[in-house]
Amino acid sequence: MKPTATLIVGVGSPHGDDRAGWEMLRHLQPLGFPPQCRIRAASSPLEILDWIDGIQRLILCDACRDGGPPGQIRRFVWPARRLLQTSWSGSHDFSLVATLELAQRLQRLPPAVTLYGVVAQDAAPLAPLSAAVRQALPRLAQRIAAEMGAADVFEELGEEIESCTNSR
Amino acid sequence: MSDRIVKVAALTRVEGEGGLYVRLSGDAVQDIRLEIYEPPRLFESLLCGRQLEEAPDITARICGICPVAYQMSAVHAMEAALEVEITPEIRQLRRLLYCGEWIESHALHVYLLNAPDFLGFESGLEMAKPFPAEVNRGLRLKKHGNELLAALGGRAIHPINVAVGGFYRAPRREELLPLIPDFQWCLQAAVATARWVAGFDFPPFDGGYQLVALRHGDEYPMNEGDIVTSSGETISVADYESEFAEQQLPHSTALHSRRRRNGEIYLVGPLARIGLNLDRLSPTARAVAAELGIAWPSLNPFHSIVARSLELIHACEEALSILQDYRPPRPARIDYTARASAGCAATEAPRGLLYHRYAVDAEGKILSAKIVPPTSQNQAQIESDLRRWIPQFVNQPDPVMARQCENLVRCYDPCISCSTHFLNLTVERS
Repeated sequence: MKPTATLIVGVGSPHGDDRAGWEMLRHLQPLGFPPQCRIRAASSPLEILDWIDGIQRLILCDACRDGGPPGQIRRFVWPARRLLQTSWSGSHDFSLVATLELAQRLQRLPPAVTLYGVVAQDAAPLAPLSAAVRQALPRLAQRIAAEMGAADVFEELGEEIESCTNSR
Repeated sequence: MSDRIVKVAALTRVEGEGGLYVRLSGDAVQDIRLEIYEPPRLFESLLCGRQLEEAPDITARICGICPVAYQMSAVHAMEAALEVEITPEIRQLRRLLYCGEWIESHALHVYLLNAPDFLGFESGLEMAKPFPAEVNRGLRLKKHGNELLAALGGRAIHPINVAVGGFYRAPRREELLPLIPDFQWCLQAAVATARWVAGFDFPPFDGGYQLVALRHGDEYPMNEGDIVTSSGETISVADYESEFAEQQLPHSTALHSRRRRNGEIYLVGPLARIGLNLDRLSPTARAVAAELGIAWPSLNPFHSIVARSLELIHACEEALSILQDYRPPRPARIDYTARASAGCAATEAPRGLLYHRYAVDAEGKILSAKIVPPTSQNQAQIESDLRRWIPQFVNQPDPVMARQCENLVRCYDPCISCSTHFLNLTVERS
């Protein structure tokens, strides 16, 4: 399936595992992606609203906490019930989920929205990534690249990733 | 009579996180604490031992909403230490950058954080469905503010182009000209914003504030000027620490600021800036201010949303003017030589006066850093306001009282993560 007008956003901050969204983009870029895809880094979820008009598919990546072990990857298809049970990193203004809700209420949400969460360990000021999250990111980037492109790559990666696709 | 305790465990719609604790005995307010817990002064210690050139990038990470403010105070403080004189063109470009930050910060606060309180909504999310045009207008204003930051700063998040002495790279004229139509729209949108919020119902409240802000010879204050007060004082920024003192309180690791001379608390931010600089606003902002029916200076914290909206107009109008006449500064950065020295500066962050002081050694290594954010300076004033605000609600249920307290606190647009330099949440429910 060829993606059309896809936007991939890594959400994060400079602090510890909260960097995950940004660092994932660094792993993603060398993998290559179709010209219809754009990637962006955001420090605030609200920035996503600056970029989504006209987009057909939105893929988001951010650090999260849900009681699971650090480095584990979560995948949600909007709207997913379990999104509400997951805490997304960063504070400031609107949360990631609230931002997507806002876009939906304004009828600006792209038709397809996928969220990838990397379970975070710590977000100490200016701290580096934890080992667990750092090790998870190349796998996550490959997973996202696969989602944008060949289905056979997806099959090869297998179901390491817990998918949450239940509608709310 | 037993005490009644009201707690707001986590304030919503503020930057960062903080809680509120109120203890009542009958109708009397016994104690009010804006509770903030954090590793104190972490960024000041992180700066020590780093090279002075790193100060803009490190301080920008204190706050994701106002990185430019931290960068501006940092570079101006370093330039004061090293006696670097920037050119008028570099100065102009810095003002343009600051305009971008004011626009994105003020638009966010007005539309998504503060307006819902006046319209009776729990959140900007709730407000979006009945007010889609307004919310989209605010989001578009924020977007264009971010685009200006990205065009000048290298990226919207933690701009990387700001340097001691100027900029690492000055954008070409053809890179900025395409922004002009958007900022023509922004100016009209900002005027519409001010007229919209001026129609809200404002609870009567006289804060009796001592207003404190920068004032410049002929500009609306951003990067430069002396400190002025509504008591008629003019204070050199170099004398800031002689006039203003910080104190640690047991319930918060954010330091509270007071006047040294008499322990008086004070107010910084848009209400103070407008009150002390009305004549320095841009022509459109001045004209709109005159039509809105509010007498300035206003000491009503609920009028802060109007003050912010007037500053939105000013920032949009000034940004448009600079963009239209823009010529890249040459050079983009002034050379300097590191030497053992110390310097300080104050600039006007969206939330108010932001003070930095640094000492560096002969190799340019930072020996000490002091950062006083605006929300720290307003903390004592917020608590004082709450002490006077709460008594009219003591016969209301706790959730009603808590909501009224939150509404008041949000008028200050407190950036709690800035005032504490990072984020730590304690949630208690009694």
